Amino acid sequence: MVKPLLMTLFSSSEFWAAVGQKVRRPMEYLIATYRTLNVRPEASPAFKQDGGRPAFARGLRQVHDKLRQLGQYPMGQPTPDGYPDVYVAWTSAGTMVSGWNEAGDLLAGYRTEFTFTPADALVARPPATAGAYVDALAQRLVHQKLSAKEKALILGVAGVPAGAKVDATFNGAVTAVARAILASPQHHLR
Amino acid sequence: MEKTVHSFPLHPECPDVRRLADDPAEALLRAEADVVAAESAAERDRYRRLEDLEEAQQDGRGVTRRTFVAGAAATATALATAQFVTTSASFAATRTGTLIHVFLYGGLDGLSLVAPAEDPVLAKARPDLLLGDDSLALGRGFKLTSAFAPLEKWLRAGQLGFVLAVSDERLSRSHFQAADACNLGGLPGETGGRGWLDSLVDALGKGTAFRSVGIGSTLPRSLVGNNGALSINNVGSLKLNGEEKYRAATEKAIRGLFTGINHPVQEAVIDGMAALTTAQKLSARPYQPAEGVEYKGVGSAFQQLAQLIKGGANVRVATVGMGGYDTHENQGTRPGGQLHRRLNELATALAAFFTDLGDSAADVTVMVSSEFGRRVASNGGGTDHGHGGVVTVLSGRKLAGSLLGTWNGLNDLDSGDVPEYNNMFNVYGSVAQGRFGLTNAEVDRIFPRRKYTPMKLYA
Repeated sequence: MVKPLLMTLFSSSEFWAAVGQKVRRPMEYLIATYRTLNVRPEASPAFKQDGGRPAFARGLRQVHDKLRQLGQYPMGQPTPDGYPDVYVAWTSAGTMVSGWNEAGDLLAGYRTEFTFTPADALVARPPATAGAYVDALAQRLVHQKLSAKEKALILGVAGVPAGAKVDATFNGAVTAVARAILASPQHHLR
Repeated sequence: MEKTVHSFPLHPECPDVRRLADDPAEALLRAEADVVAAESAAERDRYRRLEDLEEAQQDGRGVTRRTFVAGAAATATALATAQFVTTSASFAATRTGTLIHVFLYGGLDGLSLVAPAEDPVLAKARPDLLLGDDSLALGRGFKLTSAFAPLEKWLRAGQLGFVLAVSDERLSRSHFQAADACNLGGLPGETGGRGWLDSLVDALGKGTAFRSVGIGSTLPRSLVGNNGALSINNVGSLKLNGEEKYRAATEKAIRGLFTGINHPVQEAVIDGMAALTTAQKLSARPYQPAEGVEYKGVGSAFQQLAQLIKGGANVRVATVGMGGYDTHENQGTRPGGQLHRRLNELATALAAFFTDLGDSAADVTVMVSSEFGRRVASNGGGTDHGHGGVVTVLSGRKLAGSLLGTWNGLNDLDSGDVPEYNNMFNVYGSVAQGRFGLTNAEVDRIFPRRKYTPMKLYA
């Protein structure tokens, strides 16, 4: 009984047209960001244990505080219908900026309670030119190629042309470039 | 968007809470459960309404100008991209001026702020909590606590007034329930969980991202709703983090990435980016208040508002919260007392704010209210939860008097409380109406399922 149902569902054009119509809510945005940056539960070497709670507990507390600040956190909405899933509820300037800043903090390596892939190691063998590096980062972070216009905008963050020679740190701009990609509609829409 | 009713910690010492269970932890848990139940009801209503709109859109039923005027303007616009090209369409005329709602959490003892002078009932019921001899004289035979002395200038100018015996039948003696109803402008089910200020914004026309602002890290219930209120701790905090040299280019990139994406979120993001630009422009240099003005304590919240208002951010409605008014014991009505100090902190902040605003103060009205009043009788050092509180109005626009509204004395108390001589939502509505020049019908829409009766507050 389930199989034909799923077949009908997956073969309908409405199903596939639904991709990218909804905006990720804060919790979804945060989880997606943590996942794509490959955050893992072990503390990073830079973490300084100064007594008190262990790194993991502290890290989770931090995530929870952030979610509270964003207004969506586990068990925060007790009704069976759950948090509203319409973007107007979640897209005030403060909420959006706060989400982008969390991505910025992670990429800059401030969340030492967890291990994660450093920004300059997100792409295994970074291409030597800026344009190709942006393509590789987009593939790695949002799993798709950016349009020419989008690519130009992202290159604009680092202020270099597509043909410019760059190192693994995107000449120092990799954190800013990767964050801009994580603030794109590709990462925000689901 | 905020989901908690109380922006201040629960009051573990409050008998209200202690009564819920023997074990303090259990009591707090039950208190939370009450809050959650109220919130759930509100959220359910809200979600259902949004869903209805979405469905209507999918069915191609469309959104008519009538549904627009009926209230849910922003939601309708946002969802109805197919019907509207410009998603910020607004049929209300653009208003100017600013209304700031200051909420005193905990339940202010109104009679420690303003009280009838030489009242035999008070002398008998609360001999230990009478206003001191240093009090200021108000109209109609009332006196005002000396804690408000910093505001004497505005009192003399006819810009400071008080409405006594303010309540509504919807308010219980629970902090949580009452604060919720006060911020929503009715019960959660009646307002669909929308805050009264958010509903008010519907009538104020097109605006900037700073049109409704809550000072604090989460939005108070009064601003929750359809109009995308902003919550900020300070003006400077609204910016992208990371290295300074990439900031401008990153903002440009985000704006560009969300342009022409054929999704209504585009507008929200572009508006948000404009807010970032304004915030950065305003906070580029440390804020310099007017000569001689110093912001202390709760004043720092007013400093943010002064910065926004003087900087031309076009703030229409704003909120400031202040805690610590749950004075069951050690109340301290007179100079040196706890409550006196707190009220003095507030008055000092308001005086600093209005001095700093200078000429701009003419377009600003501050309304100070609390979730409920307290009982008339002293419990021997403090007061317990009651009704019939005081609303304070400080306005650039001259008021009708220093003692506003109806007062029929304390001879007939309502189960030990000051009776409801003035309805709370009529007071809210009248303050907003006079500030923004709204019609009775426009104010009526802010408070669903009750009939608005205007009060004479302004001269």
